[in-house]
Amino acid sequence: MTRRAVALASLGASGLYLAGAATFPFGSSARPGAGFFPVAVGVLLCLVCSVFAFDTLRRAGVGEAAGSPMPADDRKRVVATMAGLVAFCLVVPWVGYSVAAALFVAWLLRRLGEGRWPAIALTAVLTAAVSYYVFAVLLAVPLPQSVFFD
Amino acid sequence: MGTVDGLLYGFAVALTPANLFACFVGVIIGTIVGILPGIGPVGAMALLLPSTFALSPTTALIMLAGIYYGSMYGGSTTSILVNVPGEAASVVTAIDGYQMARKGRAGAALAVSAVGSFVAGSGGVIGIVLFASWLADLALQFGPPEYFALTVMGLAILSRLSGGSVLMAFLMTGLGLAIGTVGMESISGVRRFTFGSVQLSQGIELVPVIMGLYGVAEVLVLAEEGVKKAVIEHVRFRGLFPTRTEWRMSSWPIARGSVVGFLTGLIPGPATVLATFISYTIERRLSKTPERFGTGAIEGVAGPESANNGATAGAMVPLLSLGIPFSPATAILLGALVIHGIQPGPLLIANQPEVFWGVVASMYVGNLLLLILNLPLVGLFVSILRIPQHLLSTFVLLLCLVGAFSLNNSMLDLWVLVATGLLGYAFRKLKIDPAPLIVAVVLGPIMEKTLRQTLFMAHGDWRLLLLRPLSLVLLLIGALVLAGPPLLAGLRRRLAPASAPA
Repeated sequence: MTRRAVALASLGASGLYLAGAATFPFGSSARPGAGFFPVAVGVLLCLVCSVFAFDTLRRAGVGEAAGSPMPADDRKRVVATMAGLVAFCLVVPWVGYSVAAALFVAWLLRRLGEGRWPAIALTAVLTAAVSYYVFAVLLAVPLPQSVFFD
Repeated sequence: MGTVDGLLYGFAVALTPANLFACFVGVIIGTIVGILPGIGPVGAMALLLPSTFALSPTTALIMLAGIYYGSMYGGSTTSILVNVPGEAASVVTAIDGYQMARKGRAGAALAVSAVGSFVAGSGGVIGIVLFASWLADLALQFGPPEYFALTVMGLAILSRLSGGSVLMAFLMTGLGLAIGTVGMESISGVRRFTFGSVQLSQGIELVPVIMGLYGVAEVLVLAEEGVKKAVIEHVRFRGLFPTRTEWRMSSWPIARGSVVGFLTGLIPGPATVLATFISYTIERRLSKTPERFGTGAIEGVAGPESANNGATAGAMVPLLSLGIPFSPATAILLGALVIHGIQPGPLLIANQPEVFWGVVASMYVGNLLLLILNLPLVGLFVSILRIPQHLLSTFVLLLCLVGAFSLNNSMLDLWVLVATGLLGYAFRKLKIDPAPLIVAVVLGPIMEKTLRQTLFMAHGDWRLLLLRPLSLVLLLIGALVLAGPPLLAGLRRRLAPASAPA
């Protein structure tokens, strides 16, 4: 089922890519334009995805073992990690690196590990502070600043 | 500059305090990365690339290359002691290495693997010097058709050799080429697939893509697996010396593994992993007692461990001589060269001798450092495995986020990281190797530029690609690698019923 969904999604995406590529100036063989290579890539992708989709649909149900579903706890940890990443990206422009990093670390330590809140909070604050010092101060790496504290 | 003069100059560059320190830091980080399951050399190199911005190009390259070959040493440690390969190139080592550890010969396995890695790494330096200079001279004759043919051949071989099906490898290659077309087109300035975004006009950065596919995806897999505690074999320093018989049994496998590894490294694809499997198969075939393999044969450790280090050296040849990376790790090194304003290609040796010879000589210095450091510090390195996995995963993700943002101060790179992380996780679940995608992202723009130049040159006549001997040979190799195996299989099927007894 998952494989079938991936195959059909790939086919759709490759079709969209080819349609987008076709909007750029194609030129000619002697003077290829900006769309020449993307169209070639799009055609290649559509061909590969068509074979993939055809192959997957042909095999559907024939000797296809239903994969065992992921246990709920495992799935929760994956979703929590992804949610943490997305939340970091959403809040970092507003609250800046230090606060976002501390929240991110606390969230993940709580969701992935088994620690208590005081220890988690301390680790989160220390990690955010040390990483800020190492990257922003020592290595002069630019980090996102808060819009509130600029 | 002659080869000997070049190497001496390289050692003078590599042994300056700053470069020596960078080499030391690189190989230590590489060893740790090799030990830890969860982040491989590719992810670590991508993570640390932004922190090299303040360094000189040579120092940055020395550190990143140190991570690459240093990880091969670290990977063997956990394979032997814990039966947990820190990265894919050490999977084969675990077969006999862990069995040796269970028989109380962990020290001997570690020592042989460290010496084998050193021999292969040092021999690889000589190989780089010989091959890269020769190839760079040859590449000066390359025009756009040859470069286009080379990229086609590279992607064809990579698609054939990557793990999983060829169809999936093609899909990954196509996806990588498509990603490479995003942004402002270099000849006419047309913005492609930017959806009005100014940030997207600069294209999609390679580093967040690699961090996502290798770093974030690996952490998601670890998160799914949950907390695991490693059982570690105890090793004493005095138990590190192999017996005379063990040395004798290891010497030829080390020599063969070094050569096989280096030659495999020249081929596009997952060279370090492939080299270990080839070396293991060769040693088992050549052994008079193949039944010992899998039960603690020291040749099964010596050969593959030499091979994976030889392969890291071999993989540097196309990068340093042609400016073309054939693996994700060398793609990052190429990225580092470009970020630091160095023009990769056949003129690198002539125009930037300190970069070429400095990096080559530093590989010898780094291998020596690894040999000296790895054996006495094995206990310390292995204790890194005691760091709780969830803590490590959190730190890796935070590093990924910092690294991705700091490339361009761009939120777009953060979103690319998250999206490719999810994509990479899906690839893992579907057992798809993302290596062709990474290499295609890098080779795509080169491919497009050289194809268009070729067609301009030939006034649209595609036959030019077949009329120039070098490009014809390269295209034929690519076609042969792709079509050869299915054709041979078909031929065998046809011949089988005819030759079968009635």
